[in-house]
Amino acid sequence: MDERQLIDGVLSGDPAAERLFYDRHLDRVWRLAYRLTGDGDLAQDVVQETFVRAFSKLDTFRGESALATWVTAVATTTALNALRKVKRFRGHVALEDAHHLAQPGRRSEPDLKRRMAEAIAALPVGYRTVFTMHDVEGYTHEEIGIALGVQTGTSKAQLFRARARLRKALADFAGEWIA
Amino acid sequence: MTDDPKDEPVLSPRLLNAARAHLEPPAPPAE
Repeated sequence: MDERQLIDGVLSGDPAAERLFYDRHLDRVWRLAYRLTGDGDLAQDVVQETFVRAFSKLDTFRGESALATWVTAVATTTALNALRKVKRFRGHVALEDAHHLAQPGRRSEPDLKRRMAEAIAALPVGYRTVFTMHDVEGYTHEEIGIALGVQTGTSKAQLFRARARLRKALADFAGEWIA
Repeated sequence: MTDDPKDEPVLSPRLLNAARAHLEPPAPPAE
């Protein structure tokens, strides 16, 4: 079933088309929901809501972008709205691990992972979103721009600032940046 | 990443792996 047939099928309420639509986009939506919310339960809610919204808004899809990009935009908006409601990004280092962070000179992998987790969680949500989508999940600035409703230049600027903050937070790992 | 401005430092593979490992999503839950 090509994209147009799939869309027509969903719009006509064909359960097989809805299932196929869901299967085709689930992994991308789930990955984004999980990474952006930092919480498995919240991510599940985001996935459900994303598909409900996508199905209800599919009649507004004009084909100006790829369908996957459009679905990404719905998922991103839904995830960021969910995050705003809970007011807390949960993908952070637990407080009991925090004492591990204050040991200078340690550069073990568990230490790096904790420091990276802390640094990412400390980013403002806009920087964290762009960094996650671009550097972690591999979206282009054009896709990110469409998802967030911003110009590609804005996405690039936010990525630049995100990397600058991470570089500062992970200064102990100097030499790990490729200019 | 092919659409990076040339003068922006990027994370090393080691840092990128740490960033990707953090919050690496498990398989999506069954419906």
